[in-house]
Amino acid sequence: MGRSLKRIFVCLKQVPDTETKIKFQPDSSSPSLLQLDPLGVKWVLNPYDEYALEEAIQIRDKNPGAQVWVVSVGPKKRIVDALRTALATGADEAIAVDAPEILDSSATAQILFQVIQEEIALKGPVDLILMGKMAIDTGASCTPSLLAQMLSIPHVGVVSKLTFNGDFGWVAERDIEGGAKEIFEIEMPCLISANKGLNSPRYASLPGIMKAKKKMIQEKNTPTFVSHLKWLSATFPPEKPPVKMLTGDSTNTVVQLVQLLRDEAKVL
Amino acid sequence: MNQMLICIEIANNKLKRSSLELLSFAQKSGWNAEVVAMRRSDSDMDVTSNKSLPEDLIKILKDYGVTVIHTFMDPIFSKYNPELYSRAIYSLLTAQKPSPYGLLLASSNSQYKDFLPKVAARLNTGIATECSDIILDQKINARTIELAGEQSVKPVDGQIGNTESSIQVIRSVFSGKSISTVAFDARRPCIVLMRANQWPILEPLHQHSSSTENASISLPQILNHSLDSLEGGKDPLLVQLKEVVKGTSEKLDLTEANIIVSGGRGLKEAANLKYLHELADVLGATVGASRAIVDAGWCSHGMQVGQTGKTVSPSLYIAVGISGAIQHLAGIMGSKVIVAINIDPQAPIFQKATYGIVGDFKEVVPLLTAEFKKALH
Repeated sequence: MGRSLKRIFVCLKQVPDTETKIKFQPDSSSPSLLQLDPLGVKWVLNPYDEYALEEAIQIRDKNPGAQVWVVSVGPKKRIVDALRTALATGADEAIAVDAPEILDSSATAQILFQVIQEEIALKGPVDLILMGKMAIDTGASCTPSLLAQMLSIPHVGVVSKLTFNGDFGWVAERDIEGGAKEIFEIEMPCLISANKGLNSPRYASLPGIMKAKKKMIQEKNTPTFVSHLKWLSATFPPEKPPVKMLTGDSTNTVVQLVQLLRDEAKVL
Repeated sequence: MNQMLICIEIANNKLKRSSLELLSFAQKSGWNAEVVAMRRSDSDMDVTSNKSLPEDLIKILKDYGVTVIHTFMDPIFSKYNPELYSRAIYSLLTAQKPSPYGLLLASSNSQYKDFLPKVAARLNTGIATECSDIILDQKINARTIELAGEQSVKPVDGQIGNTESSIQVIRSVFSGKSISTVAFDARRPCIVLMRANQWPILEPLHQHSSSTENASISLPQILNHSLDSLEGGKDPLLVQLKEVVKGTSEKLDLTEANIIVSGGRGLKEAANLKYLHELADVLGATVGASRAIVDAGWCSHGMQVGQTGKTVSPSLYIAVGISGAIQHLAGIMGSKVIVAINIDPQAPIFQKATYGIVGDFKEVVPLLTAEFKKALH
């Protein structure tokens, strides 16, 4: 047993709560582009990142001397809330990287890449990076793989089970189509993206919340990045016509339904 | 530079339905199309003969107008490896500099979502996943596309292609609440991953050409690329796939299924899923589940449809005993037709459904199964 695990980074994203009504406004710095109207938006931690954070805390607790660092990219003022919650839940240190409201996956990865590189240069190796497999606002699922490539470290994504291999690596179970699983072996330093089912995320405890209130969150300015994707416009799905409720007894309604599916909706 | 490279998938010696959608799009676009196929396990491919792909499959590709078929048939490729596969695709795209490809097209499945971002990172080009449409050649001067927040652009390997037209994609965001139009910047190739069931499958253009016409359309060139030919081909792989544990279902994955029958807490107990399986069998459908019953342990997380499950885009989604929580709806809004069956007439799902039946599933579903059987068989 040679190397010991010292530093785990968890990349967190704040996303609008699902119940939030989404509205858009022109981007103040580039009026031909769009931004999310922040008024009335309730922000939550991306659900998949919660699994990543929980896993990091559990791993840290099994490795004396290890630390969990959380980092988030976005408008500084609001992401500090998510970081403080992460600290309250059990993370050791937090970094807020100021960045525009909407970023594509590559831009996010470029920013995280530079921040992590800087951290490695300043404070030593990062052994494990954890993040959710996907952010529920963009639904892109690209950032983990992009970031791993930029850092030149291996990666397994969509992981629902992570087992230490006894040396300095992991056995990671990755969820794919049809309920199947690919079982990978991976050595650290590496990046793992979390799927639901990896663990049961804990809630922040009251002592944790109190302690986090006094914790200093490191702030960084936006590093250089290139956006390959521009958000030109957004529409709302067309209003669907009201539901056609079928009436009558069951023998009747099923006949109606099959006929409608075949002749009206034409999906059979 | 109107040339695209399409990642095609073969299952049971046939092109997958999603690949036929991509080929149909290519045919309609008028772009020159090349395809790439990875070696599947030995059982899928006749590797004893010199032919790496079945004859009839090559003919279909030819009929769709494909000019080159790239293959990776070394045995090492039969086992998925994100680093290996990304090296392979990267090598194809950069064999000539600047890259002649304007677009790399693939299905938005778990494998392509896993390794194609690595290709995008190496190329320093854009990648968009879960797309529902592509708009080619929008006439825009690439230099006037504003790059929000950009401080500088650093060309890498001379990959910036010369283009006057932009490639745009349509994709849903915010859990299906909004549909966005996204433009790629000038760098090529753009990498686009398409959701299943978005495009019609067209008849191959050359399918019914007379034999004389057909003879003049030469068969696509088939190029097999060996591991040695890849840049960094022999570099060690830092992840290793040790084992694939098969899932229990033989049906199409929810994300690819054209018809889905889904169940929720209204089913009352796990055993009642059998009603849905019977219905699904008659329809050739895949069975899905709400978060409530997955969390209750009635079925695996792989069956979950919704915000923290799978986003589906079937032609027909039948929701049985599902109330219609917003997180579930987030996963199904891409469905063409939604049928809701629920004992509660106030269930929110009825507001989003196309057709609704209020009733006890134990009564309705078997009758429906019988009715479908009559209609379809």
